[in-house]
Amino acid sequence: MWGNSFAIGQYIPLNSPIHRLDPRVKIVFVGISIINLFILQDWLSFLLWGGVILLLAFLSHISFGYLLKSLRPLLFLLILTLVLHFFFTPGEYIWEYGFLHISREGISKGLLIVVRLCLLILVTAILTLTTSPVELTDGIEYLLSPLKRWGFPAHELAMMMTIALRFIPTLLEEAERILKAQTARGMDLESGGLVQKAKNMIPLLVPLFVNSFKRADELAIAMESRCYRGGQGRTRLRVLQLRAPDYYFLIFSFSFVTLLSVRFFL
Amino acid sequence: MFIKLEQVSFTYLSGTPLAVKALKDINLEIERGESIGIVGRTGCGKSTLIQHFNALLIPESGRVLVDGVDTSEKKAPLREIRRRVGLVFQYPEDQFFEESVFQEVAFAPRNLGIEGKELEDRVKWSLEAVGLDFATIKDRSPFELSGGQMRRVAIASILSMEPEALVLDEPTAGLDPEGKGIILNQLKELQKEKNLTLILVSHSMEDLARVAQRLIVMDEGRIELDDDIRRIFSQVERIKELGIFPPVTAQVAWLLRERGFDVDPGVLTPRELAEEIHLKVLEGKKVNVG
Repeated sequence: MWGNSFAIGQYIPLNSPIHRLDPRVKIVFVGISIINLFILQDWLSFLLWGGVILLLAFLSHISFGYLLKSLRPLLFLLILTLVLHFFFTPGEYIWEYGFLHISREGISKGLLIVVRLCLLILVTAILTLTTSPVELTDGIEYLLSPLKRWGFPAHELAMMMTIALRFIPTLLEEAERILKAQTARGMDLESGGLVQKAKNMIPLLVPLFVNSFKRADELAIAMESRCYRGGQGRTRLRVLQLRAPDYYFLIFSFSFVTLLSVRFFL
Repeated sequence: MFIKLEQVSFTYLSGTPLAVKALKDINLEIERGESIGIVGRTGCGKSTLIQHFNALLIPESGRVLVDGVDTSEKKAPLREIRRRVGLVFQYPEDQFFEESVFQEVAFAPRNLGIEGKELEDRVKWSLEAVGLDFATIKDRSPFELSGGQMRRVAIASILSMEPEALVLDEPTAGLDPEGKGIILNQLKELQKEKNLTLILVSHSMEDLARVAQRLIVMDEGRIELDDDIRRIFSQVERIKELGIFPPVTAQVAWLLRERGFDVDPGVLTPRELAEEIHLKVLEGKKVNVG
């Protein structure tokens, strides 16, 4: 019923200072963090960033261990990056075997890039763990709304995202339910070659699609019967408003990022 | 003892901040051929409990024995357990994927390696066991049937494994009274004829009163009451605390008791209630009507 294991994008409803921040502030913070982390390349800056992430995790009441779990889906990518850098960076070789060699530069560069990736993932995980999907799309819609002037469908895009996000857990739940129902009927997913394995998925995929179409139909009718006609003239239940903590957070994050960038460029 | 649960506990999303303890220390014994109803508020753990009966869920602690086989053992014959304990989920028609009713019902026995004449016999028997005519329905698409027919095909698609126990989660949800009646009667007949163990999860006490002999009342992951259905319906106050409302027949009997009539509150059907009222309230008096 509740089963799913990917932490990326899984909102944890708590009431912490970070949860209460305006979603726009958090999105802007993640944006400038990503740019900053791509510019920086020294250990001291990364160490400071690590400290900031620890502080944010502490303030958001999310256990650091749980936050680290968001790295797991990308573990393979991280290890691959590390290995590729170890073996394929030219420089002063400290280990050689046939055509394989590891260079000192490779080790430091590989580690640096992997740490950078980890920091990037953690920063985004803090955003998605502390911001509900609805707040997130509200924030994105607001930040994209200046583009409406040039015909950019900001509201429609946000609505599509909201609906998609809203139905991810539903779809997962449904997939689990159908998987269980078919397992109770003796369904076998493992046996057979590649083609057979693909065929084994049919009892799972057909009901999932059929039910999704049904649900989409019902949702469209439900929206129309509540007079939904797109974004024109639509008001909000929860108007986003910046409060004092939002300003403090913005000032802090901008000064932190500027400080690190200035230090880097000098 | 066919199905036995010993101190079973289960937690969803164990080890995350969203962990939910769904079953707490459940002890339960189910004999072959029994017919049992399971009731309780939404979220009380009913669905979690029944998924332990056929090893779809493995207990976090404690153990489940199906005919002596421990489901949590590494080499437990899971498919065999799932064949012996057939589980029909809520809205089972959501699982349809085949082109014809025949193929849909044949899916489960095929997974057990049954082919040819025996397969056809099983499909025919299962469809007839739920009161459908094999010849007219077998080639139709399962998606174009009426709600009641769909439900019966879905039940047939489990019966075709020839299970020894049949567990159904809300088998009559969303059906019209006629469809409900047909399904409940067929289930009752199957239980009698085949000595099938029948376990029914339902919110409808009227439905359970028609089929079940024993009732299990759950609340917050625990079994609160487990007794003969008549005895449970007699404890009106206690079961109302657990969010359960006895069938109207039992409620009427209870109201008559409050007014000083010695009516047995464990009446299950309108006929039984009429009999009780006739005997104990009207003292056998016949009044000419009209």
